[in-house]
Amino acid sequence: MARNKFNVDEELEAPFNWQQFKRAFVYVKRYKGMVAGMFCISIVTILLGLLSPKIQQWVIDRFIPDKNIALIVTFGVCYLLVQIGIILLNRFRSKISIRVGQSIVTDMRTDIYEHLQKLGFDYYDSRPHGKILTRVINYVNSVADFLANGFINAILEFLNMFFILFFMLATSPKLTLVILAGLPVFIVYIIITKPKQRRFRQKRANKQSNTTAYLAENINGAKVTQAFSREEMNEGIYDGLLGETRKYYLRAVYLGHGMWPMSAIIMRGVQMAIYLTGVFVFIDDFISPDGIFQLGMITAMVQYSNRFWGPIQRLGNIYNQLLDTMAYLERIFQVLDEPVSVDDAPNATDLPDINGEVKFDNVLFEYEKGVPVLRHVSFDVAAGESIALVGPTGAGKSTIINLLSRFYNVTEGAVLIDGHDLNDVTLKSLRKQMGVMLQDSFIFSGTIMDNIRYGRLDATDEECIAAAKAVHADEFIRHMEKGYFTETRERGDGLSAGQKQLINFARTLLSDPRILILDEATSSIDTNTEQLVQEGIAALLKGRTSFIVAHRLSTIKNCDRIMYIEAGRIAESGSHAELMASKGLYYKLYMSQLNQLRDIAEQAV
Amino acid sequence: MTFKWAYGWMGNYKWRLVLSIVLNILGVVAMTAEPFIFSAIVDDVLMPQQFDKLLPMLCSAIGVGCIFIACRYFQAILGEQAAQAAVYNVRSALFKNLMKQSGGFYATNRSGDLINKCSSDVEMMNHFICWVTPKWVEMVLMLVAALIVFFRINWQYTLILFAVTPFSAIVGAKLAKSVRPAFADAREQLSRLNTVVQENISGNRVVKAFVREDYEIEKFQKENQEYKRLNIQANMIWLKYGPIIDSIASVMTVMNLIVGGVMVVLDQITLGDLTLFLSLAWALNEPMILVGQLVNDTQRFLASAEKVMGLYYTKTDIEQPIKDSTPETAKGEIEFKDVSLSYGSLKVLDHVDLHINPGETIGIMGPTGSGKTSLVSLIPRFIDVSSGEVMLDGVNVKNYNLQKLRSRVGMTMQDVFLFSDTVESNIVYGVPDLPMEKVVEAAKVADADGFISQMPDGYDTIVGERGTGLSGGQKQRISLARAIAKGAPVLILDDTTSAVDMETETAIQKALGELETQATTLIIAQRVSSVMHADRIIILDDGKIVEQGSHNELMALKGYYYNTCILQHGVMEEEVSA
Repeated sequence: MARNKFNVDEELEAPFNWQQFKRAFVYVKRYKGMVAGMFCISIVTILLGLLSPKIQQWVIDRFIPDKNIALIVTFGVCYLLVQIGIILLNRFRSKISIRVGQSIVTDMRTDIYEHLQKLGFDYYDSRPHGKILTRVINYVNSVADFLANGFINAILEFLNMFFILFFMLATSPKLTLVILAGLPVFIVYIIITKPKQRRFRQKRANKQSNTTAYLAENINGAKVTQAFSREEMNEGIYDGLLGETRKYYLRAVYLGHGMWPMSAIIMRGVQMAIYLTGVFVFIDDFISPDGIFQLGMITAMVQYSNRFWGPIQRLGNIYNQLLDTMAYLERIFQVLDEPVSVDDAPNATDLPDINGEVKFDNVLFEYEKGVPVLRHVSFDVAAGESIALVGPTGAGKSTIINLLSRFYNVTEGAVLIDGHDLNDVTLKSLRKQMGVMLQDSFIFSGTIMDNIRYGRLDATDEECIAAAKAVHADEFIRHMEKGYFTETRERGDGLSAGQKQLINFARTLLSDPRILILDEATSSIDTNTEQLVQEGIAALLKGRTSFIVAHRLSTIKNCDRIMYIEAGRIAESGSHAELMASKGLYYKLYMSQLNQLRDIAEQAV
Repeated sequence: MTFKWAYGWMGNYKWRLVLSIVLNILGVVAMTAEPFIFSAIVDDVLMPQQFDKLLPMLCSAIGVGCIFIACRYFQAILGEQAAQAAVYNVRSALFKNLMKQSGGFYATNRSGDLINKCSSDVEMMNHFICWVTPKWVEMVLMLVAALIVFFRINWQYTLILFAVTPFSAIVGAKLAKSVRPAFADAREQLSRLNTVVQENISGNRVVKAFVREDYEIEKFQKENQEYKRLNIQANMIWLKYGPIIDSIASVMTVMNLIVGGVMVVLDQITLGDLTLFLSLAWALNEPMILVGQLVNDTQRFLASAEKVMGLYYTKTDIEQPIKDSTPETAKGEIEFKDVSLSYGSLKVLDHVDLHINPGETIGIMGPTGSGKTSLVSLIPRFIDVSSGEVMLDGVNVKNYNLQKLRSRVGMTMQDVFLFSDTVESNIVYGVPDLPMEKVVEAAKVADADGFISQMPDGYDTIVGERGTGLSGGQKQRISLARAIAKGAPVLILDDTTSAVDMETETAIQKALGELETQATTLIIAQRVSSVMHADRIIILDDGKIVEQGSHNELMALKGYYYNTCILQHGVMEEEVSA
């Protein structure tokens, strides 16, 4: 049963964890060549970038006082060439980085998606689908830029810092110390604000996901909302969720934006200190032997200090981005870490072509610990036998059917087909041979033909149509505007429940299963059609094992064996005649229907 | 137009944006003033070595710096607040509009697309208001400020410098033109990707049952890779023009250096002037570089805003009447007068006439696709008639206030939709303040109390989206309880007990009959047992009422109903006679 709804945050216990970045790094590693390329390009750019103030310094300190116009122009042109070189290199780097970023996102999304395909019903049943969607799409998009550029940029900024440090030291070691003095203040600020930053960003991610989940559900359930005139109330709830999102968004932003002013203030403090110390403490270093104040040197130092704080400010931004990415990565990895509850055993073998012998050996099953749904069920079914499952709703009929395809693992006991324990065979080889018609006939967007072909992808149009004919869906399909190529919409909006079931039926038929399972498959099909459908598949069913859950006793009666399920146990089992003779629960059920019919008969007289 | 629309959503928060922009201007002024002070420090303090003036001048520099920083910080915060207000209001308005839309709208719009419009497209508005807008103002002001300062120092020099700006403008315009469609394509693809994933998630049972994981992955990969391609393509456009704009900006810097240097040599400006020029160079450079980015982001915003606006201005095809003529009392009398309904060329209902008395129970049967659901959907106006009239208590449903109309109709739908919330919340969906006894009562009538109480958390159990995790019969019964809890004078049960066993069904029917206030009830079903006790049964075929009457009358008619009855009970009938 579900554990999460739209207004419940999916809390994470995991602490701030570098491990996650290690994992994220795996995605980056695949493009290590490109990343290395970006890195090299960037190093060159940085070195070139450092040349610029030097050129300026030469021009101002030497060529202008020397009145050497030729050199001023030459160096000016050099400066331009350096700049254009930088721009072109940057462009090249961006080109790579966009590719890398998009590739990482695409890979990561593929991984999540592939993992989602392995997750069992329980995963999907236990949370709003909008929340899963947000992770696959939005969160993954949000980490792209950071993963492509964040790591490199961080390293580069550090390197940049060290380069500048080197140049500063070369220019004036004493002033360099002054510049460095501002650093600890900034680090202290980061350490103090970190826990709050992280919390707000996590909250924000949570609230976003809640909002999307609620929106998605309301889009899908709009008709129900309207039918119950709940629009206003839901609007209120949505506004509430939006408000929460806004609150935490702004809180995160207040702190995040605080980073820059902090560094800007420190930077200015440092600048002031450079002038003051340069003039009052280290004045001897700045007066040339002929008594002229060496302006170029001190302006260069100021420029270097700005350049030194530049990377620090940018590292601050990267850090903000990192916190965001962290919040998203945690959610993404949470999906990837979701254990696959039903998976192939390590030594699983392919199930060979089966005859259709089924055995339930003392099966205990519970969805939730301590609440058994099936209590030690055992039975044998011979190949080709048809079994009807009857009993009150929620007694465990659908569960038996779900276990047959191993949609869930048995808690205790075993399910065997042709003597193979289902836990020991590969899921694919098993499910390929089962034809399951679920209660909820899901229709994909596409065409009706596509939906039928879902049963067997290599089926020709003729085969699809033949299947539709067999279940008597052909007639209504041909009636539609574009026949088999009529577009179906998400969930088959516009088709009636009965029509959806017929398409679903054709789909199952096309898959040509060895064991056929019909779970309330025809409940919404009108009786005439159902009768025809059953005639159509009766021949096909011959020789195949089948399990049928139905409420119409006329359908049930013709099965080889009827099992009456009650409260997770097989209360009765036998042919119709046998069960009628034993005058138990089935007898009671049958007689009540019979009595209804007698009423009808009497009224008719 | 689009801009005005977007800004309009800020409401009173627009003053914060205005303040933010004012602070931005102040910030630019402070930022421009800073180099002046430093240039004065060079010229008046350092060069003449009059160091006693250094400290006061530095202090004023820092003061100005702090003003600049404070402006920037509060500008950012105020901008974010204003943008968040707009985002909040737009999202809220979009949601309201979504709640008004009819089934036709939801059938033609992919849900992934709708979600995208409400989330990431609106997000672009946020970025536009709080970042792009102030940056535009800042850029223009910076250019103007720099221009004034440069002109005052030396106008010839300035003219030479500014000779390159038109080139930037031309490239910027080109960028604007080509970038928007590229981003629109990428967004469109995102919504396609969204839809594939969403369908995969909600259809996960079918995917597993048919072992189609590989096929689904393939399908997904196609969209995923295409999204990647389009994203890269959209970004590459920026890379095509961005560097040109950047290069033009650096030409300006170089000219600054060369022209300035030469002018100092020729004694037309002082070295201090040149330092000033050089330190103000960013004021020219930044806007020049920024213009590309701003154009890019503005176009992205426009691409998104158009989508958002499209959704916001979508009219619903089921409209509120101009005048609310909802009658005071609700009795539950329904009348279909010559009602026809068609979807395009497909005729669904064909001149249906039907009068239903208050408190009457009507059973509706007919072949798959004969128009049963369409017929009942006309009453709460989920669809509107193509011709004819549907009357509730003597008033055309089109003249009812929609909410009041729908509050008088309790309905269960074929495709049961439960919200991922507790069982209780689902049952009280229509009447949120219903006391618990009433909830249990409704559940008992729907024969759902038994299994609900057996669940570990009882009525507080959270059911999955669409009620996943519950059996079909359980879902149907919760949905029935939900409709009953509403206590409406008209109750429509569309295929509500198809997955419920017959005994339970009988119990439900009995309980429904014993309800204090007898609602007018319409029951759509395929099972004879579901409708046989109805006061009247109608048989729809191909959009027409072909048979009508009580069970006995229809049995005597020996038509569709009789045949169905025989088919369903035929086997037993043999035994009755045996």
